[in-house]
Amino acid sequence: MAVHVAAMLALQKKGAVTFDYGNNIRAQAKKAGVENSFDIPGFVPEYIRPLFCEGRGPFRWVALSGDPEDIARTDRLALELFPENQTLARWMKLAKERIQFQGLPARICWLGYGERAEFGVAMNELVKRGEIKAPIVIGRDHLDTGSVASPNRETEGMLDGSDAIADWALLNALINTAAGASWVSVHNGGGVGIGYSQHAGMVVVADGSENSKHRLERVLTSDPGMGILRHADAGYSRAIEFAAERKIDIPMEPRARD
Amino acid sequence: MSGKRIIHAPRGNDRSCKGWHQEAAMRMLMNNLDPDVAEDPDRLVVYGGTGRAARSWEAFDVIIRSLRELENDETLLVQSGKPVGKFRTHDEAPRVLIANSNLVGHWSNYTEFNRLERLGLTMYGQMTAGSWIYIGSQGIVQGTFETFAAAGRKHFGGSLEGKFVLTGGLGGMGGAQPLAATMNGALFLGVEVDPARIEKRLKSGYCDKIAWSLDEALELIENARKDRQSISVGLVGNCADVLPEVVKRGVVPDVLTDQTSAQSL
Repeated sequence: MAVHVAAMLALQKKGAVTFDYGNNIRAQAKKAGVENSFDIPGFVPEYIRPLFCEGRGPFRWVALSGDPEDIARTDRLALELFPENQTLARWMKLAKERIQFQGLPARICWLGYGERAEFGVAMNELVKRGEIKAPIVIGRDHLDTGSVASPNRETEGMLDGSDAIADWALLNALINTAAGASWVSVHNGGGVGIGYSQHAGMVVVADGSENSKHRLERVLTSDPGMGILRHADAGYSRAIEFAAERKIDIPMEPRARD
Repeated sequence: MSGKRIIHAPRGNDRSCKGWHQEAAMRMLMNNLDPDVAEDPDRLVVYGGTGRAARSWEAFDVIIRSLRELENDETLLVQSGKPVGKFRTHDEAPRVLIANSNLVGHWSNYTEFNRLERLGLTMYGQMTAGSWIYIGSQGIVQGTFETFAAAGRKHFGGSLEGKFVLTGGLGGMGGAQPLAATMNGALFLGVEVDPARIEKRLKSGYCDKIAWSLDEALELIENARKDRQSISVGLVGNCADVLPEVVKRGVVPDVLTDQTSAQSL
């Protein structure tokens, strides 16, 4: 292990873009005497957090019809609505070819604040018009922008040191409940073990009704919106700018720390 | 509960619940336990070691029954996989509220959790297991795809096309890396000690080739580079041997990471 990480550090020095992928290898190597193992950055601060600052995170939906054609229709919808998103376009094309469905057909892609509500309401409209055969279930992972406190992963090294503050995850569950998600959950210990994380889940159903439309508009705004608030509060300037651009109301002006 | 139970969610437009929100919760709970989705459905384990969808089969049956009876202005409460009550709320409120594995701060550790779990008082809900929205391994592939794509944007002016990605570990989480890398157009080399894990990824189409020596692996990568193709190669070996050899030869990957599973570290 120490040899492994020492070699990673040597390659990093020679110019390889090097990052830790959440398996705790840095801490183990440090214990084994590799003093500078934390010169290797973690993947969340390095790559994922900038996405979190725009409310971007793993968004998923499931076709209750059981018909893969319904997912194919939603794949097309995503490409119609977000034609400028090249990562999404590449993913959609290849996912269709390479990913086998397990259980009910489902799709995942990363969408941000604004996009999720737009997409959810548009799927509801497709269900209403009968272009999709049965309701669509919309949810997300808890590895997400505003619903998790996990100091060894998702909230590692927050700018203001708020890594272990669990209030944000609880507020996420509360606001999604008030906004009318179909089901909401509050958890301890996912991903990294009991006592190491607090996080919340949400799922909201698009059944083509007005009732669903109201829920989708509210929940798919408040849920990623929590991520903007959380990262703006911690001092991430991208989140502060994004909140200003999208007119997300933050009562006390956040202070950039980066 | 004796005998195996095989759970599949119903498909289509006929529901057995009084509204689609309840019906969706019911089907997604069942889908989490579909043998095609779940890691160990007999034990109600969905993924991630012991992440469960319900406390017991008895609790599962009562959740299903409660969801079928639930009115469109009622909310069912589930405490760590066990249905514990329902209240009148309103027609735009959640139909189900769930709390999983929560403990008061001072007692939030495995000693106490395991004690309480043995007493049948709680369960481990992981993330999407106990919140009834797990959909299989697509999530891991997609998360890894996004991470590699972000690395391409940040360091290589937009994409990983033609870039050499070197990593370790093709087990559980790490097994998504080869596919996520080639989806980003990269040349991928993953070092894995257990050849069975590489074979598994070859079978599912997540990994293109297996190599038994570093020479063989680097040749495959070089050929793909010349042909302007992406490729993923699983190299049977130990990172602690292979990486120093890579350093010695003066080969420098564009991207370097590691997903050797924590228990194998």
